[in-house]
Amino acid sequence: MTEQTFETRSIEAARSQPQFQAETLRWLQPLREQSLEQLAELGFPTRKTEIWRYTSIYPLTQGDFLRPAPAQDTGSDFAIPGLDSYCLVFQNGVLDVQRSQLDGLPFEVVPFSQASGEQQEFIRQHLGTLVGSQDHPFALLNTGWLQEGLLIRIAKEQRLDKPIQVVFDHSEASNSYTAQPRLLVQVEHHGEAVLIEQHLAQPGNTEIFTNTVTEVFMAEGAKLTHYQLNLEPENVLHVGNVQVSLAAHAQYESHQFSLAGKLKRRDLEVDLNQSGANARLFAIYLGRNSQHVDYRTVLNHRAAHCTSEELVKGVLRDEARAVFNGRIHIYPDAQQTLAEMNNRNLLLSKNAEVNTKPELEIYADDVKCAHGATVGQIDKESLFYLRSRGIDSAEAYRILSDAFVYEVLDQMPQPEILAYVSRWVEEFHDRVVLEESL
Amino acid sequence: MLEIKNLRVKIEDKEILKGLNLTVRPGEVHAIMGPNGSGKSTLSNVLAGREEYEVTDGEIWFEGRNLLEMEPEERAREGIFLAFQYPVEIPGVSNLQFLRTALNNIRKHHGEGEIDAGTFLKEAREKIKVVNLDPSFLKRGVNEGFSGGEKKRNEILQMLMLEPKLALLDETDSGLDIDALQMVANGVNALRSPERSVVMVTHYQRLLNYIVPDHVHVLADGRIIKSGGRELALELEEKGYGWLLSEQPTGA
Repeated sequence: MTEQTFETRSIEAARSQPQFQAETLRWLQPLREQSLEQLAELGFPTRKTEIWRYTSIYPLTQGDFLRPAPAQDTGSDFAIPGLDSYCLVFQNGVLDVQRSQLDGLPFEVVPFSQASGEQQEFIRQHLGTLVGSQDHPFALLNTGWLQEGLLIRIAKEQRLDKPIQVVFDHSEASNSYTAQPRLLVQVEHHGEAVLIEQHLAQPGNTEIFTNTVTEVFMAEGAKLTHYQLNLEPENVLHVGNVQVSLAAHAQYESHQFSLAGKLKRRDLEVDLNQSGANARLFAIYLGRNSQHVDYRTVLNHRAAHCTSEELVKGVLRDEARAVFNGRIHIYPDAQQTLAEMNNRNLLLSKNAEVNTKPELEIYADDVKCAHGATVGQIDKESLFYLRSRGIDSAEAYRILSDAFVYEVLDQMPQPEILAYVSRWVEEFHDRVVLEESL
Repeated sequence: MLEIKNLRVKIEDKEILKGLNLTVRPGEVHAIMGPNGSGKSTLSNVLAGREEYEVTDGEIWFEGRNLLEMEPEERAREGIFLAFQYPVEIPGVSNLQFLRTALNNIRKHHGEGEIDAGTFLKEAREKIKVVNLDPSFLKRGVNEGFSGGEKKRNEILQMLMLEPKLALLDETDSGLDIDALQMVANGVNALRSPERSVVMVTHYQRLLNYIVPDHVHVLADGRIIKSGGRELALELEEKGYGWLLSEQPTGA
């Protein structure tokens, strides 16, 4: 008896899960079949796959994830204190109609399973078009497996008064399961919105595999502030993918906050397709124990006069490991590009590890590009300075590490969200010990 | 208050202090002068507890406690304050947050509760006037983007807030113009009291015009080679260090 590969098992499981044959999603069938066929051909990444070199999907292949979640009626508390928002909740990959606000919204929200006419047509024309490249086998799996998706559209010149909060919550269950939710977002000409992706799970021992894909289409002059709060506990294996397409003068701003885990991989790819587009990417990752986190960003400058700015910082304690791979690709037409990318890492332990790889590929001659990557420890002089004023070393460590982290978090325009993530920063810095060996 | 006996200190296998003795009583202001490389900064750093310095012999007693057994933060909580020669910039930590944390750590050590935020702010705004810094400096990152003189004045502000028993000024006068020097002196003089002591380490006599010392010591080659009153500093100003050094026995 030959053992099936993880690809084969995944594809078979995708085809046999109930939503695959659902009448309401039948119109997506050709796309789903096509995605699974592509996945069969492409396969999942191995250590030889360059962009997955430092992240093994081994924990995923070993678990028994390939089934949908059992029905659940309990969920996590996802409230962000002080923040009024339009809430949409995915529980275990399935849209929770009870806890979601779907009616009476000032913007368009349609579950894929309820899309009709023009909406179906829009989804068919756009879904998967940004993630169709060779790099994203997990996005292909998501399309093939897709339990439910949401189409979110901000109309022309519409400015939303409140953020849209999309919660991806996961319940504890007796068996492992997978959640494969999907977002398709369109911001039309000069529309403006704040979108919060909030990934949560109830604490538990069962391992859960969540594989999310968000595609964002932004028309001319559109503005989107996009939070990605990846807050699941360690038992959730998380692969997440965000793909963004920008038209002229569109402004996309991303704020990611991630706790590491057994497997946590985030991909964020932005195409600056027309003149004057602007992307600003901020991210923080925090790892402890033997956790792992992998961030990959790609900025494709395809047109002239576009700007991008990126600041990604990480703090690792204990034996945690982080990977950063940031790539800026300047195409021949992208003259007068301004692009800056920085990845900075702080190691609080001698056993923590970071692999960072910023890449620039430039095919235009009149551009300004800068990139930098650093891996360092708490500055001894600063530490002594604080201690010499009566502050004990553990607290001094925390203060200095906080300062490092908040340089990024302070960029968040919504103070409620900053305050909300602060509790995880605080918890992360709890009981940091001074290691003599540093 | 402070008693240093036969202190010998090495850094990276090089002996810097070679049997230093010094006694500072409450209320006294001492100036330690000496040429470059004589060990002046080593002395203040050892007193503050910097770990790179290895004490190979001798004792330091602070208010009857063995200082060498205390961590830097414990020394600070017991009342020792070092005004750094080169204050560190800490972006992302505001001066206010820093001062308040330090003050609360010290208060906790003495069994006192945390200081009320309003009282603290009021006090900080009062004391920043003494060193003539704009109140906006309280909200800025610790020393972040401060000029050399502003950094030194910020050190003095911290000293005024933390109210140490023993203030060590490590070349606090270096690189200061006359105005800034005046501010620093104002701060130190404001702190002077019969219970508090000050040890100033300096290369120049200039500072002593503003903060008048009770005792002046000349440190050379790791030892105090001459002690005297204020007039010793004036003599040094006039003659330099050469005459004293040549009086020293040479060779071992």
